[in-house]
Amino acid sequence: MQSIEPTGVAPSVRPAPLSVHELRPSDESEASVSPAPVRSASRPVPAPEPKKSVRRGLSIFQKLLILIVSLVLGVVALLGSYLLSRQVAEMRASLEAKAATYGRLVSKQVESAIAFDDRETAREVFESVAQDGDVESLTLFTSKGTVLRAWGSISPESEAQAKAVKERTLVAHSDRIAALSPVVSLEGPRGTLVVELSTRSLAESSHKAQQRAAFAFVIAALLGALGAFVIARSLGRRLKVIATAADAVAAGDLNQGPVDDRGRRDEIGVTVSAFNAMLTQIRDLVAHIQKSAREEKVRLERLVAERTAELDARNEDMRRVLDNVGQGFLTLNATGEMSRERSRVLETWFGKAPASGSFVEYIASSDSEAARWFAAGWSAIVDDLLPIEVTLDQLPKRVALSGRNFEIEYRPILAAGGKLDRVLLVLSDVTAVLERERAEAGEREATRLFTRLVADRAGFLEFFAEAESLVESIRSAQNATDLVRPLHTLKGNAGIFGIDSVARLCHDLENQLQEAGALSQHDLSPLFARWNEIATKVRSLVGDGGAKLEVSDGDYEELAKAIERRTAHAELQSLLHAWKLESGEARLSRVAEQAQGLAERLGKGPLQIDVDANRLRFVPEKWTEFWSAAVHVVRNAIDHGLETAEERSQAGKPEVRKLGFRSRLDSGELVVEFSDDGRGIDWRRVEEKAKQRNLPADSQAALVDALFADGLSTRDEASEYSGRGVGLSAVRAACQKLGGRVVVESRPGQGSVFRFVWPAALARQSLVHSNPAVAG
Amino acid sequence: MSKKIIVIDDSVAVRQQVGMALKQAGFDVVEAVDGEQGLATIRSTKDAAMAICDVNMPKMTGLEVLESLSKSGSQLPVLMLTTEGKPELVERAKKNGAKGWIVKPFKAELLVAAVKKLTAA
Repeated sequence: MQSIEPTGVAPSVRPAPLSVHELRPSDESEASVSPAPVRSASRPVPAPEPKKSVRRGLSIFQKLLILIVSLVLGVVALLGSYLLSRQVAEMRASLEAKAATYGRLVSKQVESAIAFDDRETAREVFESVAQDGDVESLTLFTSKGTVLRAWGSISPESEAQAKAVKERTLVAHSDRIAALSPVVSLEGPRGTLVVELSTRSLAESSHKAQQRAAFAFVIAALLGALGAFVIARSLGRRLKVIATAADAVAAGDLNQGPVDDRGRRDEIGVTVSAFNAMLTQIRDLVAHIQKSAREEKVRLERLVAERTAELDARNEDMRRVLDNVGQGFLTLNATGEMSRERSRVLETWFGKAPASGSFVEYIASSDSEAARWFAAGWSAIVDDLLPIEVTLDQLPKRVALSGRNFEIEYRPILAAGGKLDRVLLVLSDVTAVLERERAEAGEREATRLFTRLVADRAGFLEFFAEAESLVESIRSAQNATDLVRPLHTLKGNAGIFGIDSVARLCHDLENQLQEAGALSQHDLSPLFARWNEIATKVRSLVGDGGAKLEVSDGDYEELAKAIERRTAHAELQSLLHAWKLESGEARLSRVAEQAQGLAERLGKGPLQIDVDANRLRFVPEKWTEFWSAAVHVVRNAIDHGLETAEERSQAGKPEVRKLGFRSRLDSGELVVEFSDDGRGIDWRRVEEKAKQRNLPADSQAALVDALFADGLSTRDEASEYSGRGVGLSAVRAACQKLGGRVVVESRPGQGSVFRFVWPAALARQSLVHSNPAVAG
Repeated sequence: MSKKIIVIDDSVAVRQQVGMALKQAGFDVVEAVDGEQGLATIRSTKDAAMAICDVNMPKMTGLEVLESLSKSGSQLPVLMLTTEGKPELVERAKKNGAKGWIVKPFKAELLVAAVKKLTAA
């Protein structure tokens, strides 16, 4: 405590604020910055929630008061009782001394009275002594024990003791002190003197002394209490002042004036000074911390501003990149919301993004199907039941928005722990690429169309007319059932004529129809659009000269020779008439050509096709439907009947696959047959399929019927070319329409023959045999 | 013991492709050729870990299989195979408890990854 200096900064008590010194940027002078409104807005000392210290029990003042009063009372009581007892003892001693003295003196004076039995002398001595108020009795006994002279009445105890006294004796009785003295006269006789002094005055004096002492005690107690009160109050007040200040500081109020203790130098004074010094230091410290905090804040703000500027610059760079690449970048969060940072080109492509930021909403306005597909796919991502690479792969990869086509690439952005954070979408406008591809494919198709038109004008025009009517049937179809056959036939025909785009569109539509059970005009529109393009091109190539007559060199030479031979007029007319008919060779060659194309596409070409029409000619309009449907037979033969290269090699069959397309007159009946050297029909499979569909399957004829039944296919999966069980039923229908029948011959591993047979009558009506050798 | 996966598809090619991929990944494969057979197989194969089911099949479509399973309170995870077309099919499948779908044609490794995740107990 001695080291505490009451005023000013006391280094020894300064609460070494190490951290503060470290914080302090320069010198001490900064620390003297006025401790602004310390308690105001920002309270620097993170004081706990102000807790007013609750004083329990007695205050210092009360304790001091009780202590001092108790002490005073104790001391006064002790002193009072000590002095009192001492005074009483002294008074008794003095009384005893007086009794002894009286005994000695009076015994001397009454020696003569004893010697001479002089009562008068004794009387005189006694009377003079009896002047003393304390004297109770004076008695002089002779040696015989008789009373020579007495004053007052002796107590019985003294009287008893007087007879045996040999020397001076002092005896205390209850209310008197007796001095017993032997009296020895010079003359010889002896006696005994008893002087009794009353202790009454002693008792009175003692009582009075007690009264005085009690009074003094009361006065002392009052004065002591007063003094104690004054001292305790003074100390209590000083302590209270400092306690209040300390309490306020503890509650966070540093804005206190110094505690005023009037410069007193006792321990409280020193404590007050130390407290004031500490308060000043705390204020300085807080001010310093505040200043440092302000400086730090300014520094951090400056740093943030610098970094922000840096980031802005980087963002700006990034934005420039994002804004100037041909692709659209954006990220989606888990709820499918687009990030704000995204390529500007997106806005150019799709317009303003919706306020919700939802990507689904964004694309829904242009491609609602893609949006729904995306929404369904996104919900699978959110469900997180499948691996993210699987769910991302199910999202639409190509969308058509605002008349343009976009490819979307999805890349997961994973957070720490492998959890999906966002998904990066990279959109590329592939409209031009697709258009170019489409244009190229269109060109290729156009070239094929042109080649075909030149090579087989009639056949092509027939195909075209039929395709137009099929498209019309599709357009006017009322329900799903109406769509099945025209779609399938168009697909087959288009495939055989090399119009792959139409064949593919039809195949996709068939898939969609099978899965969803219906097709909307929106679904069909790409097919119509493509067909219109083709139709326009074909019309421009054909012009209005659809009805041109094609004459082969052979036909021309035959006619020339007939004229040279001067053949009959009717015969010549017949020959000329035949020119208007379709040559069986041309027709079957056309089918063969289509078959080669199809086999190439299926990886089964080249084929060895044997075409023999036996110079039959057919009335075109009557046979159109059959030829068109017969394509299915050829397609089935190639796609189903012909084995793969490995299968053929394993079966020891020649690598080159063979087909045969023939027409002939056989016993007057007209026969058109299509044969292949493939694996043959799997009749067990046909039976199984027939049973599945509850069709009769108990005889070969029933199985042939089942084979041609609508919708039955032995294939599990439809290809682009066959397998839907639609084609064969169409062929049979066309054959039957002309009054014919179907014969199927098939041997496992050796091949199949589909033979269509019409009665001779039809042959006469609809055929003209141009070979005079067979005519008739 | 290998986990048993029921593959329901009327296309032998798809069954072969799925079956081969799953067998190579260490799964046991039980095949069914249509919805009806698929449903029967699911009901009779008590230790199946999950089923992969085509949507468009004869006799009973994949959605009908799902609906039937859903009605009978089956907890078997089902993954649908579909061609990209109608979102409503997918939505309907999800409503009937399908765990997810994969669009045909698909990459075998993705199918295996999906099966592994769905069968990871």
